[in-house]
Amino acid sequence: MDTDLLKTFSIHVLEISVLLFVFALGLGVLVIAYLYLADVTQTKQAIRKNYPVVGRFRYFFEHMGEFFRQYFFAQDRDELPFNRAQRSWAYRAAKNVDSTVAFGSTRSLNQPGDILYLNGLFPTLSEDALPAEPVTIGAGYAAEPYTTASLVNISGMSYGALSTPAVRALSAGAAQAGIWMNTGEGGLALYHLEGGCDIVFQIGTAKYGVRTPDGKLSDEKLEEIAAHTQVRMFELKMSQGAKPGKGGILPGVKVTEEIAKIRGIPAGSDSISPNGHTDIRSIDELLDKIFHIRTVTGKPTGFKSVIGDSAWLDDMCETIHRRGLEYAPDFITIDSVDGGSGAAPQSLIDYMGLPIKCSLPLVVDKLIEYNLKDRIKVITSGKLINPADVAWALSMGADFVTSARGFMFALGCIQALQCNKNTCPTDITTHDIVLQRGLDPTEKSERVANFAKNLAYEVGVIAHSCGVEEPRQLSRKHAHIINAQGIPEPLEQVFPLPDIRPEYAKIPVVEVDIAHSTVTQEPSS
Amino acid sequence: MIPELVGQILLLSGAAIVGMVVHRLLRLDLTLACLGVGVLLGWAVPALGIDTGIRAHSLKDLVFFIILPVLIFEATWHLNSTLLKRWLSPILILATLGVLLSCFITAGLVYLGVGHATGFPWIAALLTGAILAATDPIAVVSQLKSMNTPADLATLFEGESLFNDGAAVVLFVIIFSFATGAMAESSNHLMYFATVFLGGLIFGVLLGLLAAIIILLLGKVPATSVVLVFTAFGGFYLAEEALHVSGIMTIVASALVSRLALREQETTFLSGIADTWNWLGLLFNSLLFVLMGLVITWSMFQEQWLAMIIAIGAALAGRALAVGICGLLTKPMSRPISGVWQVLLFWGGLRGAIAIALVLSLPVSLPYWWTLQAMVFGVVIFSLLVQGPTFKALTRHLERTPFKNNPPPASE
Repeated sequence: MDTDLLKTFSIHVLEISVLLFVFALGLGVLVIAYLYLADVTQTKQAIRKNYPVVGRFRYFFEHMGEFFRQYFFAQDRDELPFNRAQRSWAYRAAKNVDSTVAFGSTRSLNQPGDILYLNGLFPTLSEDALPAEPVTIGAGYAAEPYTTASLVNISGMSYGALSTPAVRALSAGAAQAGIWMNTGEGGLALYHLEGGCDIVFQIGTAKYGVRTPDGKLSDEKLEEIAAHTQVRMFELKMSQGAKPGKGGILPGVKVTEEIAKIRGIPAGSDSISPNGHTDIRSIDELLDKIFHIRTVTGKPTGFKSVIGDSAWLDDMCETIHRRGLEYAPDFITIDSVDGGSGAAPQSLIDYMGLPIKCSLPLVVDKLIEYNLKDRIKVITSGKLINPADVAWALSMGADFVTSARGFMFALGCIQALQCNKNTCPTDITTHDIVLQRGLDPTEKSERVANFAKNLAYEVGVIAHSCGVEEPRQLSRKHAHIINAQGIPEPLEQVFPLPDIRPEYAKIPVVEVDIAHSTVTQEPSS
Repeated sequence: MIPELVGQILLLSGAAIVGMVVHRLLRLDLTLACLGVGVLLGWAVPALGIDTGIRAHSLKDLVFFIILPVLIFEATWHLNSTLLKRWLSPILILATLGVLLSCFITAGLVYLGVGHATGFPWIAALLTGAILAATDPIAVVSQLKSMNTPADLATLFEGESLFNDGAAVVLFVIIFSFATGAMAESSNHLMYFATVFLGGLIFGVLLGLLAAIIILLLGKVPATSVVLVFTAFGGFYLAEEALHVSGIMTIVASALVSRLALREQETTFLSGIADTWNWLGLLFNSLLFVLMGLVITWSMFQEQWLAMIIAIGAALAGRALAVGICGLLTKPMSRPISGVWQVLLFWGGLRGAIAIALVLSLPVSLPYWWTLQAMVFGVVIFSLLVQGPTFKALTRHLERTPFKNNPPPASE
């Protein structure tokens, strides 16, 4: 009885499978016939017309190739913007797992422009090692100068470009690691404040968050923002690495109700900032504006720019000396050409501006020449996500480093290059509720903190190998740079430190008022 | 046999043309004009002592096999218009949830209103609800376009009617299969459902693909029309008569697939197809209203006036609630439907060709057929005589409120 049942059942299954097979086969033949005819009759794509049906594979593979290359074929060192070696260092640092490698370097160590550090015969002993020296920004000029020992901080990414959970994770992680977070140009959201970290408020060209209804800078709103003790500095964004000469672009799909409210624009339509500040058209106006913002807010104020044409640097330094040091920016953030998570025209993202390799020494040298290096702190950013890169920036004379994408990797970014589309697979730059489920702010804030701490720690390791006690003592004499012949050459020789111009040598260096600034730092701790 | 059939078709088409002439000369709505011509014909023909051979039971086949396939194919064919993209989510909500709500609310109210469980059972009420869920706002859309209201509103109207026609028809077929007992006869409901609907779908996909292949092979503009019109008629006929699967599902699937498959030929082989659907649509819409006029008798109003009034009330309430609830649901979306637009959608939701086609396709053997037909006709006539003409005034009135000329404000 049972076997009979089984028999009829299996016969049924067989019959249905045969039917399905025949159906699938028939459908397949029909589909191929259709594809053939459709390809032959269409006039838009030559490949499909000349190679009907099989020609379609080209478009499919072209699309899939991007993913296959990343997973199967790309070597450790041959991907852009960040190769696998760089990324996996960031991932391991964020997860706080072993970040040592074995059996030698996979770097070729002979590429022109690469940096090699010079180890001392007597490295700094662990017991002699010091934590990074704190630096005070705006000492003596801002009512509330900002003192921090952080080396690598979170660069400007707006709430809007970033998702809610990403901002929350960054904020909490930054607080844990004791670093600052830049708001980007999208205004200050509650999510920025939530974690309790120090905040640098960025004023973009559209002045989101501090604008009057007609798009001017609003002093009332500035005061309102400055009233948050967590907000430590203000940064005027002149240009950004991804798109020098163009304002921020937030594609309409990412402008949700909440983001629109913070920015004061209609939801769903592209948020496009003007390509420059309409009220800052000259060096004098820039310095006036910085002075004004510092006076209104009482906090250190500087500006961010990509360096391209650099004649204005001399102009600015001379103007500062003529008008007085109170008109100087408290810091300059130098962004590199190769920057940015944001949506940007390809020609600007690829070709506009100078890389920090050359712009950082350029600015530092100018500031030294005019004896302003102590007055104006230098913050730099541009793909500095590994310890050796950060150590280079410090050796060249930068006071701080900021990174956006390093922290995105810490959040779990897989470099899918979808930041401008609201389809980020790792939730960092999407407002799609479905995709956002994956990013847990508490879990990822740990990673953000780990990344920052491990990065600073390993910069320390480099410093100690070079025989100095802490990272900020690194200088140009601690590294060589590989020249065009593939031979390392002293960095000092390629980028010699300039002399201070005699006419400015006597400018009194303002004493750093550490006592005052530690008092003001207390509310945030 | 054949001359008789040809005679009938010619008579009806002639009446439709007279209706168009009346529409042109008297500036009457085309639907109303055709209806009037139909009524006159229905009254004059017996009076003149001519037997046209047109009977209610033969009407069913005419509507079912000739008019319905083309109307549905045409509606489905126009679905993937790029215009719809903006309002896709509200339209989809209206066409799915809205249709279900409208169907069940109307059915419940009609059932309670009639209050005669044996003569007018639940299943009859549900059929009424499904038939009345399809809106047909051609008249309203042309009014809107002439009135300088936002184009978005017309798009919303058109899009909703396109989608809800399909949804209502599918719902109708499901309920209908229960009503005729086809579902109950089969031992396995699920199996029956699967065979009829999935069978229809699969057959439709194959047919659509085949049509696309033949069109591409022939590669001529006139041939495209021939093949597609043949697909509409032939697909329906084959599905219903030979394969015993759902003809409507077949048509929906084949129209979607062939449209999708031929999307690259929009400017080449498909350039003439819009005209074909236009004239077929015009002819069959007019035909339907002529038929309705023929079928309407004075005794229908005498016997069924109460049922008609109940149906009108129920249909209005069902539509109002469905639009209101869907409007509420669209609030958190990027494109919510404003309060004013909800009122317009409610009042502009006329019932027309699809409702008539569906009710005429019911077999006369159903015991509640007469009541049901009277109810649907009542609602259609009400929407033609009352809703349609007053819609313009209503829009004018609401236009003076602050919502003039722009899409609904986001905060609405």
